[in-house]
Amino acid sequence: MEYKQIVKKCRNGEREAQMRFYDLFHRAIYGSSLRIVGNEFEAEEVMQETILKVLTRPGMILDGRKEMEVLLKRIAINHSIDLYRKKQKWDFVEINRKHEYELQEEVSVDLPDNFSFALVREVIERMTDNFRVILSLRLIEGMAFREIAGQLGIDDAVARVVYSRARKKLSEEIRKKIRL
Amino acid sequence: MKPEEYIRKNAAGFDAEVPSGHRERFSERLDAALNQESGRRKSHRPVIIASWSVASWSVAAILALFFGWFGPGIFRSVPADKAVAEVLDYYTDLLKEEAGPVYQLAGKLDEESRQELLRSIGELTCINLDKNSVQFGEEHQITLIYNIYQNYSESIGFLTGLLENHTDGCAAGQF
Repeated sequence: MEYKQIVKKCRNGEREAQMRFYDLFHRAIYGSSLRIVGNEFEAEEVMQETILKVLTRPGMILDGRKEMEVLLKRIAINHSIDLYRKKQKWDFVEINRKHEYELQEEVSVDLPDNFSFALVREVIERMTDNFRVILSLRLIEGMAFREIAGQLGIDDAVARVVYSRARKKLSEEIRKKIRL
Repeated sequence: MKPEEYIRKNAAGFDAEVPSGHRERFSERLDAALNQESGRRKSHRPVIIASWSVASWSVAAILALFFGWFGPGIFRSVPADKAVAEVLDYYTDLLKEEAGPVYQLAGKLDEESRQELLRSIGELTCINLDKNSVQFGEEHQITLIYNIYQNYSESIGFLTGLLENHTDGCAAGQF
């Protein structure tokens, strides 16, 4: 079934098309959420809530597949960040003070040819929550600093500083792996 | 290659497998949500009708805007619901994209016409909900936004076509 047909049938509330809609988008939404909440159960909850929200509101089902994925991810990311912020013991006001305009020197490694994707992924997954979140939002979701800062409730400059620290940490961890 | 560049290029590969049984869990939730939704629809029919009447009002407003009869003040309100705000932002961004060619073509008009056009296009790229629509609830506000978007989008398309013909005509010496 083509995406256009799925959209048409979803708007008519056809059950099979709704499940096809779910099959098309669930993986990307789950991935975006998991990288922020860091918990499989919560990521699945966010993913399913997001798709349900759209399927039960026909006005939200978009004709373009790419546009639909962008909107779904945006809703899921917002929801995930809300959950993430609620779970954090430290608050973002504290981060604002702590990282104020503290710029990191540029440290970056080049990946050797034999460095596997699985290892890069493992390094990111093992990073502290705030580093993992900011790297995911910037590098994987392609969000601008202003947007990231707005979502996280921190200053634009602070978002850049935290990202800079996360990049440094990423390079350090990769360097360790290369030495092994 | 730098790690950042590598991650950007392989962004899709970072998506993870969802724990097994997720499809069945979703199927159950979908059934429950649709049942609940169908119950709500039956009890909210008057509100849906009201919502459509507001949408119709927006069409009239666009026509008034286009023909220069627009009076003072449309209601401006910021939706409190996050999902509604997301949809509002999304469709506003789409309208701004769609209006891009109009801004380019506006440069070919005389100053007075250009100012008038920019004022009109500014209104057409800004979706505002009637303050009374807040009482309709999230679903109806989203439907309303979508309807307004479609109407504004058609108007922008219409304006773009008019301007293209006008500027082509000018270039060909017809005006």
